[in-house]
Amino acid sequence: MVDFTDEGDEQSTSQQKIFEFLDRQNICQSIIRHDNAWQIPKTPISLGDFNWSPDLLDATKRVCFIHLSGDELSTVWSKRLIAASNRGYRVTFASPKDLLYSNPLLSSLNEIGCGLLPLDYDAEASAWVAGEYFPNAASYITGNDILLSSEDSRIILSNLYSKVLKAQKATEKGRTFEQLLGFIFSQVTFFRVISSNYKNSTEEIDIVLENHSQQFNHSPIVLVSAKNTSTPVGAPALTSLYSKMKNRFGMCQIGFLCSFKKIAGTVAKHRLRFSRTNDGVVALIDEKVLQQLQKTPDALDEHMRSLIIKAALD
Amino acid sequence: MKNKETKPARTEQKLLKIRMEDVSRNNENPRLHFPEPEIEKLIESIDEVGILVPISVFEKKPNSGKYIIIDGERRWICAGRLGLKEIPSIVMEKPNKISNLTTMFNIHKVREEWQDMPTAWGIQKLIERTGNDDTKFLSRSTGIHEKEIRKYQLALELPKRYQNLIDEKKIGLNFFWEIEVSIIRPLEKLRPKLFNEFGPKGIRDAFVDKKLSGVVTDNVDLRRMPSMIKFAADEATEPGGRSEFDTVIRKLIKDKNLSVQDAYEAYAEMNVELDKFIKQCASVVKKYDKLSLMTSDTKDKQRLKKALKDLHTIVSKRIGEV
Repeated sequence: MVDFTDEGDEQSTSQQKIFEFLDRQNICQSIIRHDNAWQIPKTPISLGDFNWSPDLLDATKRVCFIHLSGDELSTVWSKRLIAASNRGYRVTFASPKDLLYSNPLLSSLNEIGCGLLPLDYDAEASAWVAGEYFPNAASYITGNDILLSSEDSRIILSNLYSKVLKAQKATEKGRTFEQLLGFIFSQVTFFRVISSNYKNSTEEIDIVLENHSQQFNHSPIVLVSAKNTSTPVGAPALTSLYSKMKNRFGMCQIGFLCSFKKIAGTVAKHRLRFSRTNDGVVALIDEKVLQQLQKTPDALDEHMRSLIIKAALD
Repeated sequence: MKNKETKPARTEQKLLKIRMEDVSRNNENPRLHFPEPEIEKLIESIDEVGILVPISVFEKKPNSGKYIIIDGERRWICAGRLGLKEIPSIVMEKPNKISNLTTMFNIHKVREEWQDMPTAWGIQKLIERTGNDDTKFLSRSTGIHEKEIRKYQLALELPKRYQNLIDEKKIGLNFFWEIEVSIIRPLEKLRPKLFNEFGPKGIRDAFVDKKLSGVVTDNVDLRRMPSMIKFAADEATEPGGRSEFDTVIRKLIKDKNLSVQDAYEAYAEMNVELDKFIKQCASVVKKYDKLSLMTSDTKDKQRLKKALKDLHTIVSKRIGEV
């Protein structure tokens, strides 16, 4: 967490709080004090048909917009953020956390593709505190357990799916697929994404979920393995996932093996072998299932339940 | 105290498009109250149709090409954020130090853009520059009502820590005003001994503490105090005299956890309300006498007598019941 001190202002993070233009100035100064690469621009940046004076910018073409009012982003700003992004600026959207809950706003931010910097006000210290920086709205939604309306969910899913399709390099393919899956699981009411890309000294786990479902309460932890490869995902990936599930002191009895493309037929055979030794159940998500999930985001809970039960019965 | 010229400057004006970087804010204009939702509305409007009303500026020094805002700081802020390179401006004659300040007051205070302490400090500057602290003069110069001027003058007399509380919006100026008119002044006038025991500072500190700790939540709570103080004064019959009720007031000032409402209900309400009732009873007879003299009409007089007789019947019954 970043800490910056701001003297003399009484602030509140209540949703009812109406910010003043002085608050904008104070927040700017706070951000600069922490990261002095930021500066207050002396001249506006040209974005073609119009100009813009971002709240902050730096020499590496980062720009920061501070949002202090409303649960939607007005077109005045959305067009500027999009234009900046199109011209190679890396846009950071900073806002008090209380304002970063609205579905329409998060949906707009996802479309723009800007990073998010949530801000909290520490009343005791009279200071603004910046939370963790999120590279995009989807990761913010995933990391903060925000449930969206099915329409907004559909839009973001479609957007994330396209990013996976467009990814070229292996790392990008993996990263975008993990983001897509993280988002999908975050919209399941009984799952909470605890960690993406979890690493300890011996293992790497793509996604770790906390399971709150009554129906499957024998598995408080759920592990997700994400593979975006051109060849079908095979048995080694399944074995690896089972091994990670076993290393969780019996707290993980459910796993998801996810492939952006296909899962090899041999995986089903191997899964049968593991079922005899009570090592837990691994549900399979491949491109067909993904397309189905994308089409009906309002039925994610039912889909997940069906996948788990199907895995137990197969 | 000498009156110095406070009228705003007015003379030839010219309309120019000035580069944004050549315009600065006016230091006599303290912090603006400019809520973000209003900023956003103005920004949307300017983005849509541009700045339709030029801002007013004066040139910092002759032929310097640098300008200071007289009116239009909000438009200038919004234009800056939108990345506009120029802003339409009416250039006016440079005001003197006093008229610059009074112009700020007349434009911005009237629009309620200033908060209390910045306004009070602005008035302080005006007093220093003109050498005149007369309320009427300050009211005329600033366009602010005399009663409000008195509140700001009170704010200027408060210790710095209380000014900060007001500036930070932790306690409103009206609360301090209420302490002054509902407690300090009545005590000074009617219970001088009690007043001297604590002094205005002690009294103010006591009630500010109650406010900060939530024992007093509403300024209206303090409006019980004048009747309580008056009751004590009536009981004592003279300003230096003793009243049992002084103990209640003393307790209220000393006890951090005692609210005005609780003190009123526990110790004063019955006495104060009874006192009011007794006065109302006495006024009934006075009213009867007055009405009797007002009319010579037999019917009216009969109605009056009947009303009094009916009252007499009810009252006699009540007395019999007690």
